[in-house]
Parts: sequence; C-alpha cells; structure tokens
Amino acid sequence: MVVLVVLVFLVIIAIEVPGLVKEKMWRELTAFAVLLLFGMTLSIPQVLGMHVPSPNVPIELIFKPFAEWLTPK
Amino acid sequence: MARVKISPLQGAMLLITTITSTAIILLPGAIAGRDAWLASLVGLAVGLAVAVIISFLGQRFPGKTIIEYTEILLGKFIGKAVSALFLTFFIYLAALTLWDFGVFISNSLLVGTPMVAINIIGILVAVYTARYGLEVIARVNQIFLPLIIISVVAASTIIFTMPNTNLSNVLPVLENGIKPLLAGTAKVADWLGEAIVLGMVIPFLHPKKNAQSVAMMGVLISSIILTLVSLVVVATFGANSPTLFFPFYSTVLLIEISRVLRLDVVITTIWIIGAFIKISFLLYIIAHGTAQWFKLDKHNFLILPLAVIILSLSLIILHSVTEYENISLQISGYLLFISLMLPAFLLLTAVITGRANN
Repeated sequence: MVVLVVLVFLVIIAIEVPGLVKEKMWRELTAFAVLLLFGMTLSIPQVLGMHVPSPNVPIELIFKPFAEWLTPK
Repeated sequence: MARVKISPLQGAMLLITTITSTAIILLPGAIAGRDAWLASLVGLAVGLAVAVIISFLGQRFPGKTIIEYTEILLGKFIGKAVSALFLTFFIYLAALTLWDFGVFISNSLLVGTPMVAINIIGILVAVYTARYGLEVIARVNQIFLPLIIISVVAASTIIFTMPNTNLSNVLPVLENGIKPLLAGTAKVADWLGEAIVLGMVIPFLHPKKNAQSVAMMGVLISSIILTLVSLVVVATFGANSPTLFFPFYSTVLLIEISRVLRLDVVITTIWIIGAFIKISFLLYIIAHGTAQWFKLDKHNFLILPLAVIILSLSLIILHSVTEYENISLQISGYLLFISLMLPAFLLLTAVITGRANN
C-alpha cells in the first residue's frame, strides 16, 4: 500500500514538475512542494496504520460551549 | 491568465448547488424535530446576512477575491493570517463534502464498499473538472442543477400524495421549547453561510453590478428547497426525524409507484452529481485562493497536491455518522464563525478605515 501511495506522489510530480522547471517558475515550484509535503504528512501515516489527529479536535474544544448552549435538554 | 467570466445566473446556480447538494443529504434542520421547516426559514436570515456582507465587500473591492481584499484591509501579516483562515475553511469544507459523499454512498447505494474507494473516485473526477476551470464547472452545473431541483420537487410531490404522509405532523410548533429550533437554525445557517464561496466568485461575474442579487437569490432559493424537503420529512416521520442519518433519503426510500420500488437509485444518482459539482467547485476555489495567497499567476498545478490533502483529510475528519451527529453543532459553530463573524469583522474594518465608501 505504501508503495502505491508513493507511486501516486511520483506520478503527480511527473505530471506537474517538468512544466514548472521548463518555465523557470521557482516560486510556483516552492508552493507546489509545500502543499505536496503537507499532503504526504497527512496520507502516508494513514497508510502505515498510524493515528492521524482529525482537524475536528481543536474545533470540538473551542466550540464546545456554543454546542452545549444549543443542545436540547 | 485568460479572463474567466461567468454570468450572474451561473453564479447564483453554483451557489445553490453548493448549499443544497449536501444539505438535502444530511438535512441540517432535522435536529429540530418537528420544527425543521421553521429552522430552515429562520436560518435564512443568517444566510442573507452573509450574502449581503460578502457581496458588499465584493463590490467595494472590484476584481478582488476575499483572499486579496482581506490583505488590503488588515495589512500584510494579520491579513495573511486571516486569509489563511478562509483558505483552511474552504479546504475543511471540501473535505467535509467529500466525507458526506463517501459516507452517503457507502451507506446507501454501495453498502460495504470502503469509503476510501468512493472518495478516490470522487476526487479524481473533481480534479479532472477543476482543471478545466470555473467556466466549465459553471456550465456543467447549469445542466445538472435543474435536474437536481426537478428530482427534489418530484420526489416531494410523490411523497406528499402517499397515504402515510400527514402534514399535521408539523404541529405542535415549538413542542420542546426554543432550544431545538435554535440548534436547527444554527445548522441550517452554517449551510446557507456557505454563501461565502461567492467571495471567491464575485470577481468573475460579468456584468459585475448584480453581485448582490446573485447572492440573495442563491441563498433564498436554497432556503426554499431546504424548507420544502424539511416539510416532506416531518410530514412523513414527525418527531422521529432527528433519529435518521439521511432523513430525505429515508423518505425517498418509501416511494412506491404502482409496485415500482427503489426509485431512490435514480434520485440519489442525481444528488451525487450535485455533490461532485460542489467538490469540483470548491477545489477550483481553493486552488485559485492558494495561488493568490502565495502570489502566483497560475493555479492549475496546485490542484493535484490540494486534492491529495482534501482526500487525506476526508478520511480522518470524522469516523462515523454517529460521531458527526455528536459534534455537528461544534462544526456549525466553526463554520458560522468563519462565514459570518469574520466577514462581519472585515466589513467593520472597512467602515472604520473609510474604505467602505469610495
């Protein structure tokens, strides 16, 4: 499974990067790399069976009073 | 970049699809029980407020998206931080929509299929569409939104004529006090607050002066559809409707026309197209906004990495429908904070700094 995911990332790089390098769009390439790295840190641990925290954890904490105020008793 | 143009009608239709395609699946007002239809109407006020604020800001900063004028209004550092909040909101919304899409299909039509398989197909189609740009998404939507509306209206009409449906189930109004109604309103309002996507679309509208009516029409029609669907569900299930995960789907399952059953397959297929248009549209907006945040000229090459992020998030964002039911009000709080409070704050800043009247 990990191999498959890495393969997907390689395919994405193969699709996008040559065009960017040819036109010397370094700023664009940096943005692309940042986003792709973020995508990797989210997806590869999932494939390895590690627990990735959900973005809902902080949302749940911050907006708990709001929800409790609205919860029908 | 070639100038992208969409007509006001297409803009309003995109907004309607964005709001209704997932709202008719999860039916946000259902938490209010018998008062679901009322919640849909009260939530309209919040939706209209978002629409007015967003279109006002859009007209004060012509040609600028919400990402760009946030930076103009709040300065470089705070502006960047706040526009990042908007971007993460759009990404969160896209992940949530993809989760809706996956969980709905894996619980209704393709029972037993792992959600990841459905989500991968969903996001791949969205990537394909988003790479063709906003005009294509708008035109696809122009074809399918009438189908979605017709399917909803037709299904509702059929259900109303069935023997088990009784409109008097709507009574008594406010049987458990005002709290359920408020909770339902908050959930409806977070859906109608998705009108904030117009903050990214108003610069593409042509002619420009209709932004206000586009936003208001979009929110109004979405709210009417939601009210109709809520009435159907309450008329069928009465006070039991909060216990259903997909209330309208459960209602559609009951349709039987002279021994022809399972018409839900036809109807849900059309809804799924709606959810797919919503994901493509959000993906386009996110790519465009991210490119503007990094100050880049093009955005097409950002679509694939963003799609990977959205796909990964959609698989961890919620683990079950029950979890969603438990924390849906917290999620509403977050969505309302970004889509109502932040634009209101921007508007206030614009008024104080005198940028509101030039």
